[in-house]
Amino acid sequence: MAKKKEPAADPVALDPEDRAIVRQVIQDIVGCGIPDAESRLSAMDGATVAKILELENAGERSQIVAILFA
Amino acid sequence: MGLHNAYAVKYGSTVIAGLQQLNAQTNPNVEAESGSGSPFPQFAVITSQRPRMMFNTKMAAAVLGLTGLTGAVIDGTNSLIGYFASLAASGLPAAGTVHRSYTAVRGLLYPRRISCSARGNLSVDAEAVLFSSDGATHPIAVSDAVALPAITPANILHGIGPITLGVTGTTVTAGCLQDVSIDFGSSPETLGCGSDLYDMHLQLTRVAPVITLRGIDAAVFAAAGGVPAVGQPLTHAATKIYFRKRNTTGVGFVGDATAEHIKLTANGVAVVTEHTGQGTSRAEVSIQITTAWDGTNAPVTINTASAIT
Repeated sequence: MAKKKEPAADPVALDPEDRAIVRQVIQDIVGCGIPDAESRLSAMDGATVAKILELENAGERSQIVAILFA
Repeated sequence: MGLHNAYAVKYGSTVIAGLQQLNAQTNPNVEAESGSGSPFPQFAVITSQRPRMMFNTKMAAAVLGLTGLTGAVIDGTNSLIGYFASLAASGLPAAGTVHRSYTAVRGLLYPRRISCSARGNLSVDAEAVLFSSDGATHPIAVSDAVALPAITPANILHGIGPITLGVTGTTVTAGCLQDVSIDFGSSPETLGCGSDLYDMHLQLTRVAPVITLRGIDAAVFAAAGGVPAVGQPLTHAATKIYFRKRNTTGVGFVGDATAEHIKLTANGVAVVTEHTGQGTSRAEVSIQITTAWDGTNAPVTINTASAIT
């Protein structure tokens, strides 16, 4: 579940555990599988990934929907 | 004479072996046109084909990891290939590039159903709807000159794990389950135009999963501590369905804290549909969960690398 730590701003440098969290958030919201979620994750900039992680950690998943479908 | 047996499916670089069934269909629409002057059809014509590939496997985590709930796109990067092994005189797969493959580069691979009985192993039925680039190119390319993909033992199996239903503060534990199944309720439709022989477009019109739990503990159907007769609302936060991963040694299960189990969550409503008994056998209670979107998450979320908490 939610982890309390500062996310990396650069998705390339994203901690593997954080990356798995963001990927699972994408899977949960979109309903897609791992390859599609990884593809969507890789297409995001670092700030977006960091924002998703921040919202997930804060229990604000509903706000992530707008980011994913923006 | 060329005997074959079903061998494996490959999506992208992921090989799914341990198949229980592999079925490549052309799914044709053939018409026999009749007219006055003869009782016999005067023209037989193939007006369209909507090819599909279907398979069943107990490698559920691998398949669900690929497809999720809504499916995985089949394209030039992630093609879908069904392999049938050509058998040698020994009765075993022959050596060399002599095997049959069915390759698709446009379509959607999606899960149709998963099911698991008590003490059994979770299995998944998956299907791919396939379409054409131009309406004239057949969606499936057939080859009899391919090598078989390398496979590893199909030993990633899962049994029924703990299941809780409800909303935060009011949950029901489904005890002594005999069967768990999920019909993912996906309806991908392909569409063709004019006189095209093959479809060129795809739309996923509906994904409406329904989960069915069948058990012998009548306590699950109760006004207090169970699903009451009026039904029970469910949220993702409080509704967890686990499938416990077996040790690959064949002895016991992977520890709960290890993130290798399958976890599903659901939002919707649960209702007991029946409490039924036959003869002297133990009566069973069936719970039907009809899922719905909560505005944030898909109706059913799937995590194929979860701890049991």
